[in-house]
Amino acid sequence: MAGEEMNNPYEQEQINILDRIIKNIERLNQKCHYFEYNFNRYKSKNKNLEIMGKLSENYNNNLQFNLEASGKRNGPL
Amino acid sequence: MASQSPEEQLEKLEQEITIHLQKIDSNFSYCFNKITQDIVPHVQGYGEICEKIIDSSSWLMNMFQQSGNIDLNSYTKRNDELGNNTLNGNKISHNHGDTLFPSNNSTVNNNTNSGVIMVSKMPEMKPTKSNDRNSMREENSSFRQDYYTADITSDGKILKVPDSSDEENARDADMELGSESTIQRQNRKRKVSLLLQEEYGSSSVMGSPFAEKQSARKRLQTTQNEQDEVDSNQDSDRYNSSPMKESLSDHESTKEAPKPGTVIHFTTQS
Repeated sequence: MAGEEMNNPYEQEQINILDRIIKNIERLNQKCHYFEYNFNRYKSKNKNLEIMGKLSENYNNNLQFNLEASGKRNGPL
Repeated sequence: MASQSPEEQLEKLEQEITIHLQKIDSNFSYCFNKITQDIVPHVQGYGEICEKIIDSSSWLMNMFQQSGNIDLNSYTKRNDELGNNTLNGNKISHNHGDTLFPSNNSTVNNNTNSGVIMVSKMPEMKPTKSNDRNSMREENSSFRQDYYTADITSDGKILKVPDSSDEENARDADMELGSESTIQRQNRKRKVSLLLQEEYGSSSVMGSPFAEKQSARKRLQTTQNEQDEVDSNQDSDRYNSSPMKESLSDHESTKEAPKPGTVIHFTTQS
C-alpha cells in the first residue's frame, strides 16, 4: 500500500505525459502523410515539366550540332 | 551513492523518467509545429507556382506532343497508378518499362518502310506487281499525287473516271497500274474535274482552267446583281462580315443539286 503510494504521484504524471506524447505522435503522423501526399502530387505534376525541359534541351543540343555541322552557326552577337 | 536509500533512488529515477518523457513530448510537438507551420505552406505555394508554370508553358507541351505523336499525361498517370502515391500508405512498386507512346494503334506508323505517315481516312496504297523498291516508290508517288490532287472527296474516297468512259482509260487499264505516265494521269484528273463540273457546276474543283473561267463568269454576274441591291442590304452586310457572299439570284447559284437520275461513279478502295 505504502509502496503503491510512493509510485503513484510520478506514475500519474508519467501516464499523463505519455498520453500527450501519443496524441502528438498521431497528429504528427497524419501531418506527415498529408505532406507526403501533396508532395508526391506536385512531383507527378512536375514530371511533365521535367520531360518538357529535357525535350527542349535535346532540341537545343540537336540544333547546335546541326548548325555547327552545316557551318551555319554564327558567333555571339 | 550508497548513502542514498533505495527509495530516494527510486524517486530520483522516477523524476528522471518523467523529465525524459517530457522532453520526448516537447520534441514531438516541435516537429509537428515545424511541419505544420513552415513546411506544408511552402510546399503548397510551390505547388501553386508549378501549376502556373505548367499553365503558361502548356503550348510547348502541346507542340512536343503533336510533333512526336506522344501523350505525356498518359505516361504520368500510368506512373502514378503504379507508384506509391496513396494517402493510406499502401505502396506498390514502379513499372519502369512505361513509354510515352499511347497504346492505341491510331497514331502508330504502320508502314515504316514507305516513308509516308498513314493518317486515318486516307486512301491506301495501290498494289503493284514490280519488285519492292520500285513498288514502294511508285506507291509513294501515286499516293502523294492522289493526296495532293482534288480527286479525294470529303469522305476520303478517290474520285476516278470510270473505265468505260474513255478509250485512254481502257488502254490504261490494260497496262500495269503503277506505270501510267504523268500526262495520262493529268488527263484523267482533268476529266474527273470536268465531270464534277458538269454534275454539280461547282467552282471548287482544282486544276481545271475551264472551271475557273466559268466560276469567274458566274461571280461577275452575281456581283452585278448584288450591286443593284447593295443599298437595301447594307445593314445586313455590316453584321455579316464573312467572306462568303451569298448569291442573291436563285437561278445563278454556283452550286446546283444534281438532276435526278444521274449516276455518279465513285471508286472506293477497301
